[in-house]
Amino acid sequence: MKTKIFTALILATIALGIMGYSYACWNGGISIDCYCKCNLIFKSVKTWDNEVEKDVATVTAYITCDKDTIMVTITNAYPCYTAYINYTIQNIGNRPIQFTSVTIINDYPEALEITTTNHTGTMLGTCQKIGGTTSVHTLQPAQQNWQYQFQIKIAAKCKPYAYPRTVGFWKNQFDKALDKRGKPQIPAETIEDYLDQITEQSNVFNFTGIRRQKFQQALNILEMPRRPTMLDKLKAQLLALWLNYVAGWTEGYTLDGMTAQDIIKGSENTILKGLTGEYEYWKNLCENFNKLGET
Amino acid sequence: MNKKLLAAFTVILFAMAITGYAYTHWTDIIQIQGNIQLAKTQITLQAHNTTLQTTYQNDHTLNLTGTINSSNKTILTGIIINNTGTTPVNIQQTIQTNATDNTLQNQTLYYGPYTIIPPEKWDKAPTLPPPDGQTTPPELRTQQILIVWLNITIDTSSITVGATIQITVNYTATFQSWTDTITINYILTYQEGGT
Repeated sequence: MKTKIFTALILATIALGIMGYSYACWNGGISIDCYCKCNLIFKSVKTWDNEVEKDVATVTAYITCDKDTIMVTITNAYPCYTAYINYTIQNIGNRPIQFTSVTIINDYPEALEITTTNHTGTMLGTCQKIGGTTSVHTLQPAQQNWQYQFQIKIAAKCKPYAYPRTVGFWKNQFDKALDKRGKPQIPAETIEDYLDQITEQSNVFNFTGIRRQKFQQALNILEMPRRPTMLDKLKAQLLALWLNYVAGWTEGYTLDGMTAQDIIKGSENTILKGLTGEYEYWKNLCENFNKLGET
Repeated sequence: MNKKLLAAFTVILFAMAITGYAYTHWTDIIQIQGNIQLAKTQITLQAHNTTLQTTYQNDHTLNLTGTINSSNKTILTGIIINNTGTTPVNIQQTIQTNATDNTLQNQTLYYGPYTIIPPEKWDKAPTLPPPDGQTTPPELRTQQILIVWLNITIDTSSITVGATIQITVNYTATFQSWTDTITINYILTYQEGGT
């Protein structure tokens, strides 16, 4: 008896679901606003070719209504003719994305040589744009009065949930890495690598010695003296921002139109030039950036 | 047992739906699709005008036959070449023969390019070949025509009676590495007679 009720319940759920979906389709479709949405579109496309004197072949391109496809049409092509397609991609999702692959599907390599910008590995923050170029070169063996097709697939994924962390988080990592109260969330080798990268790129920080010594130097900066000056506070926030930056946790984030790199550069210049009047301003920028993940 | 199966099925169904939904929101693919239509280099023999007998004719080949003698040793042939391809072309003429050196003399004059045949350069020409011909062929754009008048004169002094002279005239259209050729084959027999 219970089984029958359960079955009836499932059937009723499915029926209601279908009815609801149908109703929604009749009224403009379903829009689901989930927290994490990965959405890339083509924003613009332009074409040109290598013809200088004669205008024999033509290339045209347009973006389809759903904005996820560029349709390219080349007419009257001939050996040596090369068409170029310049495009812009925009991330209109609500998370930074990372391009995972660019695949060229060319079934006629003897007739067509296709090259395209390889975006693989490139990050794109929300609302950010990136440009690329595709070229289609017609080769000598191409057959007259023939048709060829090609396809380029650009795949991306929402960036893993990474966001800037606060000074407290990083202090905790160094504390744990120095054998105090448990295991760090980030492996010690990785943290050491972060510090080495900072030493290499920074004009303010320089971590030397064995791993423990480097960790202790970093922890001292993050913990600050008992009565910290504004410079101490700035250095603590700046180091946390550096750590977020080398960890790749600042990508896609901006504050007041500035990237983490901009703020790091500004803060370091201020420290190096001893512009004491600006310490607080840059400290606040670093601190606010490090707190972006909390919002 | 049935209850367990049903529950398991339901759980799997939900899990798959959630996985699929999540996946579509964590990935995105955009694409560029291309369609390429290739051009065609093609010329065709639209018409010809000669006193010789035509033994074969198609778009690309013309076979002519006739006789010559000591008083009638000049052959005038007019042809109309049409660029029926989709590319501009440059025309080049080549002449091959089985006759010995200096037996043949030829003069080729080109008229055009035109989109409509001008009668004064073709069937209503005041003189043949018509005046104002060019000695080098112009570039022929798509759907344009070129009138060619070829005048071949044969020195009959060194030819024996009954001998056959074969002449092949090729008009080759070239665009990039693509070519197309029209061929005119002459078979001329030397007969006794004339002055």
